[in-house]
Amino acid sequence: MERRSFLKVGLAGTALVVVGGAAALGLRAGDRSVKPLRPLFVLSEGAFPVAVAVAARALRETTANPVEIAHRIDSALRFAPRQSQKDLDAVFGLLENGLMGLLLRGSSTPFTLLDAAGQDRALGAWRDSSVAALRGAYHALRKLCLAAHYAAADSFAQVGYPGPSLIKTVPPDIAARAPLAVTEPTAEGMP
Amino acid sequence: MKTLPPGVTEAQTLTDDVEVGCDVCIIGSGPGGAVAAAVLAQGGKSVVVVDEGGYFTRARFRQREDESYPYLYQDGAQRTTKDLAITIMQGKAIGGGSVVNWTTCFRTPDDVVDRWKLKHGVKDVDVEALKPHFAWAEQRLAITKTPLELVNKNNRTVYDGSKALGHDVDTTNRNVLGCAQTGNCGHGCPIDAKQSMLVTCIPDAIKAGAAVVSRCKVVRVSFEAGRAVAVHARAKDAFGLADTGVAITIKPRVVIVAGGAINSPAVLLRSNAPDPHGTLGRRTFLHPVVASVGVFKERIEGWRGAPQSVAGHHNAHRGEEVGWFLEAGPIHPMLASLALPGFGQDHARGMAQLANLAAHLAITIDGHHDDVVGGRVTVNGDGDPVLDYPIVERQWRAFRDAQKTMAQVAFAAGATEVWTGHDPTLILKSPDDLAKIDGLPWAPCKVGVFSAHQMGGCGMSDDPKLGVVRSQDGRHHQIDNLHVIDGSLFPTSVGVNPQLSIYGLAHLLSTRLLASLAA
Repeated sequence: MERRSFLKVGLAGTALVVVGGAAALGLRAGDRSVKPLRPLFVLSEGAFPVAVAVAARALRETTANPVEIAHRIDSALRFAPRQSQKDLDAVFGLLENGLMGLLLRGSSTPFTLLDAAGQDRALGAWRDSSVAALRGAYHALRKLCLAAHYAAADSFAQVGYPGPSLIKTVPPDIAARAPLAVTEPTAEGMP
Repeated sequence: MKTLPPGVTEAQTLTDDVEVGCDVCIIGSGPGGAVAAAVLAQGGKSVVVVDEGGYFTRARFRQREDESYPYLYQDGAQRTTKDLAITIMQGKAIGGGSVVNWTTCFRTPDDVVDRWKLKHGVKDVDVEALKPHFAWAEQRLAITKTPLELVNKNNRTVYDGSKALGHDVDTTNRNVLGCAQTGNCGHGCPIDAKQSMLVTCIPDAIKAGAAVVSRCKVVRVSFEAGRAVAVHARAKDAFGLADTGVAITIKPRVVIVAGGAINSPAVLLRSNAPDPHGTLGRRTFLHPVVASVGVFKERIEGWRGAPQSVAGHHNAHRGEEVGWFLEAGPIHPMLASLALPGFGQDHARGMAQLANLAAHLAITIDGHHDDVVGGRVTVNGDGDPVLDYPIVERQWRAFRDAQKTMAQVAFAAGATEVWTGHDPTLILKSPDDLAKIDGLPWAPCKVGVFSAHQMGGCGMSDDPKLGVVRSQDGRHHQIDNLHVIDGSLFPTSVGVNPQLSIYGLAHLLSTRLLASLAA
């Protein structure tokens, strides 16, 4: 697939075509048994279990809980532009898609139904692809998982990072300073 | 018409639509906008500064990556080029990029300013004109040279390795006052030691009567009969995520666009600003960075101390080849995790050695060769900026050469291994392995490429066919009362960390603008 033509239709558009093709061929759906623990902000219900599966492989040598990582990815994506949100959600769909798997790695088994070695091969196929957009998608997924884990304090002990050197109490909630147009916080930490 | 009170108004607290008038509305509170705000407010003009970023102060700067990246960086630190090949770290807050930069200060090199005159039609900005304005910034922001004894081990590997190779290297100037070496410049200074816009020019402007509105997203500027007549903005919630439904309209005599590279051209593109020669958004420069990681027997602890205190410009001028300068990057877990290649076991092995890693950055200089024209900003259907930045062959060659030099420097400083920025990485065990770098793939998303310096896109030139604004005062070529004063003005990348270039140029142009408004 030529890079520019892949990008021209957009990842979301490509995902729709491929998902449709997979359905027409009667390919298997993936594992949907992993459910979100709380409402999702950005990721679709279909993308969430794929995010959990990717996180489990990307962070397999760490203390990370893949379901929690998928929720943090969903939370982080709130700050991305709307088109990027759509594209990233579509990327999870593409990774899971049987037709895409058949084209890229000769197997129509959805990502969530692959064994661990198969999942690593699937991610490796994207990393080593001659299609720059797929390589970009691999790095986007990789970075989302890594950032979700290593930004948080529960990763520090394993890598020997001492954490903040100054102790600061949690700042007063912004709602205490003035009327606030939002009624409930949508993130921990700042503001 | 109403006015806003001096001080910071957080737009999320507004419950009713607002329409105000002023002499000057400045879009963006970073190094360009804050300097312009201080100059114009102190000159007696009524100034309103609007910024999409939040108003965060040191109480909220808690040295935490999980707080800083979502709230202090554009797109929650997820900004990239269109093809995802370059990760773009760009600040977003009251104070802009100055809140999160690593405090390195250089005056714009004379040869770069001369190039603007010779090649890019810049008539009214030259080396002599800039000098007093750099001096002003150096005094106001307490910019002083870092003593070698304060250089942390991470930066010291750059210094020692470069010295051992006979390369030019020195400690840098930093804009700090009473720095406690916490190592968290990139997360908002927790003790206000960094003399960012947040603690200098923004307060200066407010003391002189300026109003600053945070969480205020400019949708567009409207024009009538060749003049900017209004800035139309929307209030965002405290987290910068949702529109609160409140409209903010500012009707100024003069509009200054100071959103920084990428954002400033995007505002003008959303506004359908005249662009008869198709220059708007073009020549956007990133100083694309490739990284190299050295593994040392001793503990480096690259999270401690000033993140950046040493720079080597030995390879900045390479004639027909693209040059670069060499600096260090701080090593906090999240930032390091993104720079280290691989996933799963391979990645975890690298992270397990975090305390013993040194991160070297080759910051390549774009826009100085005819075929290295940078990227182009457009806006998508949502009005968000999209940067298409094709990396050309001459730049790939520079990345390759820089990767070799960084490995040489690390080995000369005592590294036992050097990892390239590729995925999968190449592990070099000694300088004898350098030739293996030639065999690596040099293509988008095969090697990590980053940007911490965004420049251009609203280039200044006194030839309207070459630039968006004139060089005397950043005035738009087609709109009389519209100015651009920020890093998007640069006709090329500046070849050094850009903050002082922005302060100096902004001070020069806004001083001239003030004089013309008084007249």
